[in-house]
Amino acid sequence: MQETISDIKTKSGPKGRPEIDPEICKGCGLCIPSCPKDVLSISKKTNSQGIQFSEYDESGNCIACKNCAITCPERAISIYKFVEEE
Amino acid sequence: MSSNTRIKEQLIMKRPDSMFEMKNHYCPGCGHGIIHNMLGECIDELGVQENTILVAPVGCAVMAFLYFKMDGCEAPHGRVPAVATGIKRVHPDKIVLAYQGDGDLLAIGMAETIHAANRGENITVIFVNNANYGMTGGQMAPTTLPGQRTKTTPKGRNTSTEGFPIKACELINTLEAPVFIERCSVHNVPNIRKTKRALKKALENQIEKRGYSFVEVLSMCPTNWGMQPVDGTKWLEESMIPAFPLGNFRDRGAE
Repeated sequence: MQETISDIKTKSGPKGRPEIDPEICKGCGLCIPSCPKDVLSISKKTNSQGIQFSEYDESGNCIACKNCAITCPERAISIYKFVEEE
Repeated sequence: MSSNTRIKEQLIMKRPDSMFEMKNHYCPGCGHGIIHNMLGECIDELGVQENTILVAPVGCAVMAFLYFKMDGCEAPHGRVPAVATGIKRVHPDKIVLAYQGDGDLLAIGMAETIHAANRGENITVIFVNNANYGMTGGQMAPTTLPGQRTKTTPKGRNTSTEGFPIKACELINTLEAPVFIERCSVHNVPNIRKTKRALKKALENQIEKRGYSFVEVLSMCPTNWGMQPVDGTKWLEESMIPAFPLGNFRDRGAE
């Protein structure tokens, strides 16, 4: 993803992204109501155990608030924040 | 759009360094995982991973030491405060965590719990309250709410024959020795953050050798409550919090 800093400083652009490990996710869905931007949902795909995992809508407006990672009982979610490169 | 203003991705939240990268054995939506993660973060922030010994109970958290990169010990059912007392007296420089569930702490281990608190042992007790016996399949626990249906109270807990839920924080608050008593919950993000703050204070009390700290955490058990994980958080908020009011009961460390 090659955006410029001007894109993320505008209010519309995403400020970060969650990375969900589908093999660790158990599909409990606790992250979904915790998200203030509603960018998470239960996927139609399944992982190797047949569990429908949580997934991030790539077009979503993640603000890197970390709520989903805090709520996740498995800590299957890592949060990446977009910062300016030196 | 100059080339030196490109953005990069910075990792700001991941699994705590003191925890293994593995899937835990808890049911989907269980609060134990959240409490483990908060505990791991507190241990990382305080930098005490090398010096910490976790005493695991009998109950759902019986394998808790598998998930932490630290020493652990398994205690007989209910005897976690007794085992933790022994470890702490032999190794006074180590941080000893007693991690217990409600059946363990309040039913079988009531005597050990009360006397360890009364002696003011310099340990940190983390009490996970989910209103039933989770591991054995959802039987009535001392913390089961009046009218709550469990495997052994299929018509709901009848207070005339089965009594009332025991409030652990209020009970321990009658004793002189404990220095920190707080009840928190993990049903939503603000309360999870408060839980982390309480756990950190409890650990700091032990590091500063102030004495006994007790943190009760209300946790979800959606499998045995018979509901979806998200409904479990709502049930906790609507039913458990009125019966077990959240808040700090004692904080002598701050005085």
